[in-house]
Amino acid sequence: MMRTGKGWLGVALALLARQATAQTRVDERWPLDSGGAVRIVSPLGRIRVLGWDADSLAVSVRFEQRGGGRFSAAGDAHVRKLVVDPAAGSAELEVHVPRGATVWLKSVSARIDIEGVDGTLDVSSQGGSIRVLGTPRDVTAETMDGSVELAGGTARARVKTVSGDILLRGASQDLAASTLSGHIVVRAAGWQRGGTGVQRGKFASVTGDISFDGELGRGGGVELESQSGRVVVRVPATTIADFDVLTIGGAITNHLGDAQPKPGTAGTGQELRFSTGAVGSGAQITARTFKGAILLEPK
Amino acid sequence: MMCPHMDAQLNEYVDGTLAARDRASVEAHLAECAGCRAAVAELRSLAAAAATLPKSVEPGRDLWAAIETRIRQRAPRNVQRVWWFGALAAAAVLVLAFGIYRLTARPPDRRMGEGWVAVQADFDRATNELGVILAAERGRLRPGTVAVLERNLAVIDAAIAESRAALARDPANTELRRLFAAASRQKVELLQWVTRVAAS
Amino acid sequence: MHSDPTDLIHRARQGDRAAFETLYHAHVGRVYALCLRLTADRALAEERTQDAFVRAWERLATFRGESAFSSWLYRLTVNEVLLGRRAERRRGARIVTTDDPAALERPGAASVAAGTALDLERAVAALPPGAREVFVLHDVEGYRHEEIAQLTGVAVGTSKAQLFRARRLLREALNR
Repeated sequence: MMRTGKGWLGVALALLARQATAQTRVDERWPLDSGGAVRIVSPLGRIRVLGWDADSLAVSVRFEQRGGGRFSAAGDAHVRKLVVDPAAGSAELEVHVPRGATVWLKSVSARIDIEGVDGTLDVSSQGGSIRVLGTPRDVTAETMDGSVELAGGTARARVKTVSGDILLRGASQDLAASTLSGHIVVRAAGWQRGGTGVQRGKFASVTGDISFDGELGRGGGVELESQSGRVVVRVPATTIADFDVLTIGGAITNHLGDAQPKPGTAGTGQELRFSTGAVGSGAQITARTFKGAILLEPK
Repeated sequence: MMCPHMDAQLNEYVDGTLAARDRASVEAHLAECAGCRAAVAELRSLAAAAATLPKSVEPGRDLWAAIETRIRQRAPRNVQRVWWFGALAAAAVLVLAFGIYRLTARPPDRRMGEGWVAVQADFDRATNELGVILAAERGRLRPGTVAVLERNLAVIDAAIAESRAALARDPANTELRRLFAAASRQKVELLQWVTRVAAS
Repeated sequence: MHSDPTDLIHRARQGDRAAFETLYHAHVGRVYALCLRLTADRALAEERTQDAFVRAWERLATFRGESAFSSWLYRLTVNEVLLGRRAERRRGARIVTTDDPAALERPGAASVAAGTALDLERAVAALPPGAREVFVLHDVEGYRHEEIAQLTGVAVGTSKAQLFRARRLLREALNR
């Protein structure tokens, strides 16, 4: 059925009007380059970002409050910025992006899930949890007391929390995670399971425990450092690596071979340096604590 | 009358910024040129008069009232300042990180002693300034956020105190320094969160 | 009451306006003299003096004691004056340099004694702005050409040229 010209105008005006006024539900779609960028700002509620194979960006927003809130989406086929007004209260946001897109996300306490994106991710929040599934090329995730989980594999990941726990699973090459009082758990997959093993890892905490459970790529290096958290390193008994372990006030326990810790050369604490295999031929594992215990054991 | 082409040189001569060779050639000229000698004398007395002009001149009326009005109007915590403090925090972290890098890069350096004191001083200064921000911004932050920040601030301060005490007993211990530096960096990052949260 | 200056600064930084007022009284003469000589305009000098102190209040947090407070304050003042002039130039306003000897005559002023000094002040006020600024900064305030170049945004060579020109004009004026 054909609409009159006036009818179409009415629809167009209504669409435009929706952009600026309160609404309980928004569904929009725009073209976006396969390598385009999306910036998302949504303070409260839930945010899901899903990679897909279309060169377009689709957004679906549901506002919890009746009367809804404000949502704006400015941009073009290269970059688009989606903003949910904080005054809108809690919002459930579902965003489909091209797989190779760059996604920049900022929230206060929304629960964030990102799946199937291969591009670059930059996520920053205060209290919400962040979960990334898939193989993004580059991930930066920061939150204060939310937890962060990366599962899959990335080339490079940088994770920072204050008190949130950090879980890194999968095959990643260059990992760095830092927390003040959260716990860090790294479960790294090695080449036997299709990954290349961690090449570079740096994990630091003040009071949180750090647990590294995985395989190391040849020539790789892992550093673990904590003030008073417990540091556990669990690698296959066949791992070829140089171990350099030191604690000022804690205790070192070694179950990877016969080497036993010695009193520290500076007069305090304990030190343990040994190699499983020819020195320098494998990976480097360095562990330092002020007073946390350090445990080395086979997987 | 001064020789016109000598203007720049005579000025530089009077200011003492001529190279030795040029000075000699100017002096040779002065020995023979009364006009230029007079010019030099004038330049010197001008310089002397300028230097002894009263350094202080009281304004004709009191300007304080207007100044006070303007500074009172400045919003006590305006966004620009918070941004600036954020930048300061970033700079502080950079300074600290660079200092730590220099000091912990192998091989250890005998000069580390003084450098380390400087790094600690930089850190203290940076965290003092940032600590002021937290105190100031506390009222603007959500209570939940404040709780997390204060709890973790207590944690990191305790860790730093322990590290510092150990370092005081054993100042040359490289490993202790590294751990202290790591704790310090965590504190600066924590306070960066404060500035970021407060500015949002 | 004699206040320790570092304590005053510290208090002013925390927001203590009374402490800042004490600092104001201690330094306003110097700041005003600087503004007056650079602008050669009493009204403008008063404005710039106020600008300088307001800016100092805003920027106190950045003063870290590496130099004397006065040096920091005077440098900030120079910036305010020169910034104002550049802004006005951009807006196309003509800087009116009023040769106002009255501004320089303070009844009972101890230091303005010799006629020469007054003549010099007048002559400086009559200089074209660029030359005047460099002369005041170099010969009166003692800044080096490198610093002047940074503050005024000209090349070091230009700064020197302006200075020599200022001196030539002053000598001619004073010899008349």
